[in-house]
Amino acid sequence: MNNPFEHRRPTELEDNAHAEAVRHFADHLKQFPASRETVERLERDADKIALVANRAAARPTPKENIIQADDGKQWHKSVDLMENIHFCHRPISYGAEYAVVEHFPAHGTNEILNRGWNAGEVLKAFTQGLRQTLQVWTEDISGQVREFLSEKFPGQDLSRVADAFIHKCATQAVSQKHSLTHSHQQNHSRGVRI
Amino acid sequence: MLGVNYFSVYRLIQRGKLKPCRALRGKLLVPRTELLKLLATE
Repeated sequence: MNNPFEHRRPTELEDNAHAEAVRHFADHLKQFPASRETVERLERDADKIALVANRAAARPTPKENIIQADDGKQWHKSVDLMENIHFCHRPISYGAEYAVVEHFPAHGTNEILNRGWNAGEVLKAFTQGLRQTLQVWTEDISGQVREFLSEKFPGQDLSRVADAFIHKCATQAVSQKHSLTHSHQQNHSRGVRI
Repeated sequence: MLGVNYFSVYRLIQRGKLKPCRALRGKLLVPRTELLKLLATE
């Protein structure tokens, strides 16, 4: 989506409405770019992650990195993808099976999100799911912003403002403060265990 | 809402673990019963 204000300047009303929307949906505006960046990083690093997982599958796993998932089988954590989401493998007689496993700390359970014999394909299915999630989020926030604007400024056509807000969500870089936090989390969570 | 970030909530929706109803203008509304159901099972 292009920025609708790229070729025609916003009116004063549109400017005010945009500022109101940015204020009201500040959390979305902060969190969406960070999540988008996480997905982009995983897509970018998919080949490296698959390689690390393949190598890990050929070596013994430290005991503390072995978990039991909801399929009742033991899985070996090889790469941390996101907070509480791990790329795992499971030795089988003719190689390894791979899975993306989500850990739910509250209940101590481990749910398999994607699984298969090819590490790259499993990762691809996982990142495609994340892309779909971003799409669901975008459609919802678009609906929320339109509703907010129509209630706050009844009878006004502020569709360009809503489009500009979505454009901002989709293209805005992660804020400095958030970026620092995020990068700290990444350092902590991206540790590759082999 | 659930004490988790938005991405986690939308992931639950995308995976069908949380079933919203689609309200006016495409906005998603999660019924209270859905939240309680999720909290009971997760």
